[in-house]
Amino acid sequence: MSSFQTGQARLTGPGEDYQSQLAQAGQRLAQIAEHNAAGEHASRTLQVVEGLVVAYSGAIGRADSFLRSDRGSALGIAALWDAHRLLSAPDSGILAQLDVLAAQQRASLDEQLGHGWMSGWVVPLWALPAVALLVLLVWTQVFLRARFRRALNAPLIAATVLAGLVAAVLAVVVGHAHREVAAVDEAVAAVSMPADAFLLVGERKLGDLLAGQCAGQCGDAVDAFVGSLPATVAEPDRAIAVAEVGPVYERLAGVAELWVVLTVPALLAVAVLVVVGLRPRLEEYRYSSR
Amino acid sequence: MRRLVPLLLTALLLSSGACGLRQESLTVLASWTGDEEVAFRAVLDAFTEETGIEVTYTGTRALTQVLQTDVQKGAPPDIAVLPSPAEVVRYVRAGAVKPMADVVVGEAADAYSAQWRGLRAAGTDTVHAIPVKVDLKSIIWYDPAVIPLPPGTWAELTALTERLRAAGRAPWCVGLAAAPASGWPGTDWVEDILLHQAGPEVYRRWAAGTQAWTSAPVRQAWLTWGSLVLPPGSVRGDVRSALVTDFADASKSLTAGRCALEHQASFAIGGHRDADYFPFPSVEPGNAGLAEVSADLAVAFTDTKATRAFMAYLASADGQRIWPARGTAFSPRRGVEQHGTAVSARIAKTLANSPGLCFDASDLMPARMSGAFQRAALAYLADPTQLDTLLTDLDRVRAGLADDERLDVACGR
Repeated sequence: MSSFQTGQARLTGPGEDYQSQLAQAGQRLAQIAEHNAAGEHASRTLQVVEGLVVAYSGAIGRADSFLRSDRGSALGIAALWDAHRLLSAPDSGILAQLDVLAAQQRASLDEQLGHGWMSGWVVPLWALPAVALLVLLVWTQVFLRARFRRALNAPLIAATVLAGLVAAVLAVVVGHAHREVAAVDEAVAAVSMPADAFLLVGERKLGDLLAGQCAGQCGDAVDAFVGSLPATVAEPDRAIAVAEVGPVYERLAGVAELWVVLTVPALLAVAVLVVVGLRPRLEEYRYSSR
Repeated sequence: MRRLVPLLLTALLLSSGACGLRQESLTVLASWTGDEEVAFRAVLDAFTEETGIEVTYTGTRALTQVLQTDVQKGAPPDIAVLPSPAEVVRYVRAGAVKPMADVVVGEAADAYSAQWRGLRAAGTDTVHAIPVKVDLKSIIWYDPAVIPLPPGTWAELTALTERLRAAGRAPWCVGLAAAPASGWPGTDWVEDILLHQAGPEVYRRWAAGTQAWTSAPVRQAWLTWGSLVLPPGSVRGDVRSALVTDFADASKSLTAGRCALEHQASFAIGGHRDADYFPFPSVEPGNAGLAEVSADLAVAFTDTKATRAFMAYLASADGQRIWPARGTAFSPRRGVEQHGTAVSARIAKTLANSPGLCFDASDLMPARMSGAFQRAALAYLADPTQLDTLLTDLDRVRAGLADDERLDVACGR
């Protein structure tokens, strides 16, 4: 917006920042498409956003073309207004559709965390038996020591260590998954605030251009837009820090598989070790009781 | 091996069941948002209730760009509702749209007039599109409390404009902003004036790309528009403010009494509860009674049981009845009862009885041509001295069109 307002666009076009941010937007949308977690509905929303971005860059291109000539300033402002509507129209603009897309992805993450073995109420169902197993293993060794006067039972110790490790790893993984989703929310908030500040600066400049062209007679949409803007807007810091949160959904899916990959073989091993550890004592007990 | 056979059969059954489930839903893309989306969703809900097929609807004003991106990526919606026959033809010629001849049979095949049957075929010899609704475009809305006796001729309309202007009242509500297709309300003006000034044959040739933009009748149509809206005080605000006034806000200004007249299609009826309309007046004698119309056309990009069921439902009396029942849309199907006010009944009657229905010319033009036309409409109001340059540029675009991009449709019934 600055380059259009100051007239720099006549020589520089919409500016390097715009070109760079548009390219980044394309890359980010491609990333979202690659890691989409929310199924067909979200794919449709994403396709709408991609189409809107094409229309938006077309409007900015027209504004650039018109504002290169003084004669075209009224058309240039009209094209900028088009671009603004494509970006910010309630419900149907790019930003509104991105909010819809974010909500769809977030709901999908919530669903994944809320179902299966990572959900809050399921955790006690596997955590309590795991703790009970550990307690029983320790109690058994104490009992064996007292009953058979054996100092150490290596297989039972190995079973105890293994069961403890599995329980600890699963607890850490569940905690990490919940923290990771929370980190996504923080990262989104961290990006949104400065992005909103940049948007407001551009909107303030567009508001000034529209006020010059309209004199309050451009209809309700323009009046509401100009009326909603603060009188002055501070320029935010130039950089928007984009946190790389990465494909959380896919990592969560990997974590979900961990349950089967880790626990089934580990519990089988624990069972085998328990049998191996107790069998001599059982044999001893059986022979001594005859 | 004996154990594998039942397992394989089970897997096959499960996968075929999954395919069956996938077919029981479809995606629909159209340009309707807001109140129009609510009305169209009523049609979709009725279809779901009747068939059990779930519909996911996406509405966006950037329909052209969204659909083009979808098709290029090989992921189009099952159904798209396009606002222009030229767009339908474009996708039919690209082989992206599926023929639907066998879904419109029997009574449904004969329930549409020759004009609509021609439109359904989209330049082919089979059905490719189903009109969802139709709009009458050659109308001018006004407030009967302000204008007790509406004009019947172009001269009377010009005199009324001058009287209102002299009385310090803005005659015209004009809004050309409609991102991403800003300028289309201006193209409607030029089309209507050309039709009612030069007649249906020049109009047909111009829409088909065989009448030059720089030719005298087309140039005169632009000048006639300019003579009405360019004099200071003719448009609420001025023409520069009209460039950024949303077309829907122009309708609101009429309702609020900020201006007295609005050239807008019949879809504006939803916001014009107290307004009336008069037909676009004939500029030259002999062109009275002609009416420009537009249509929203559903096309299928996939050929499944669900898409066929949806297209058949849209063409059926039940499917065509739902939206007109709200009094804000009109069906091209014969015998569909029109609900609403006396105004909507008159619109329906005009659509049924006009001696010549002429399709919106810019909707018949390829997207490159209509896009340039829209921008020229904006540019003319911004700087009318550039008219000849604009018309020469439009002819350059026309010269670059391939023959198979042009649609030649005569006015008719």
